[in-house]
Amino acid sequence: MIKHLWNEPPASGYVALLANSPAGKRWGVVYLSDARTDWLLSTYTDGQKLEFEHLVPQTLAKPVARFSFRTLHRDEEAPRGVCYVGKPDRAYDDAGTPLGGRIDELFLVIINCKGVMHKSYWYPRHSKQNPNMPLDFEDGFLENF
Amino acid sequence: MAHESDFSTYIRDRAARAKPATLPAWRYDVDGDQIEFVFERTASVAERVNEFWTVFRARSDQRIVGAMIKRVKNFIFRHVPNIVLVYQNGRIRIDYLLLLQAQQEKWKPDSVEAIVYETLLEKTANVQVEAQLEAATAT
Repeated sequence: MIKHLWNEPPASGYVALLANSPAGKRWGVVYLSDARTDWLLSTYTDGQKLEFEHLVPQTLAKPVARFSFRTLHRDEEAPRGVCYVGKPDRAYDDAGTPLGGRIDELFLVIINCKGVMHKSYWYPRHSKQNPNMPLDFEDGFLENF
Repeated sequence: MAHESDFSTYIRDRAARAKPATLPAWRYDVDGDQIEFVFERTASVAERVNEFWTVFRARSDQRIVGAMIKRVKNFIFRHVPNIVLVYQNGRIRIDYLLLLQAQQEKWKPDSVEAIVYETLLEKTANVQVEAQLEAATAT
């Protein structure tokens, strides 16, 4: 049984986003801090800002897969971080020009064990046979749920 | 609760106020217990190096334009024999951390991991990242 602390909203300074299961069932709430958002935006290209704006909520709302992270030296019952996997139909170049979806890549949204998102990025897919799985997911992730 | 349109407004408002960071830039993120480095501002794709490091490669030519070290507290408090080597006065010495991690590996000189670590060592020479690890949340 995987436990999460989704129902404990953090202090002020966070925005909340709905997260669903790959089957479309409401699963919980994901938080993102204002401070983290500001730093990410300060380092992003115009295209990455647009991906952050559009692909993060889409991936959380309509994931194609999600994984619970393996954590070392931890009780199996302890809360774990989660990776949401998206397969968006669009991406953006550095200038913010819309492109089609990236066929060989997935968009990952990384969430800690308290339901706080801290990173999103493009990552190669596993294979044509496993198009919704990130490459090497066996090494970094524990459980598909 | 922010739906996609609300989130879009939130991001646009904050993006309008955010000043572009001077690069290279780095930051310890307490929520992820990770340090993120941005060397260049360009579109990238992630590459997992090992359980601690992920690098971001430019789409144009695969050069390393960013990096992220995960489980910072975990590594420092469990694997560093003398913590003051890498963490002192609320600052983490990244190049020392890389050397300590590399010392535990047995890569061939021309392996991908060895080349990535060498590149990261060059890019993070003398970099000290502020992080209040005692108060940080491990993930």
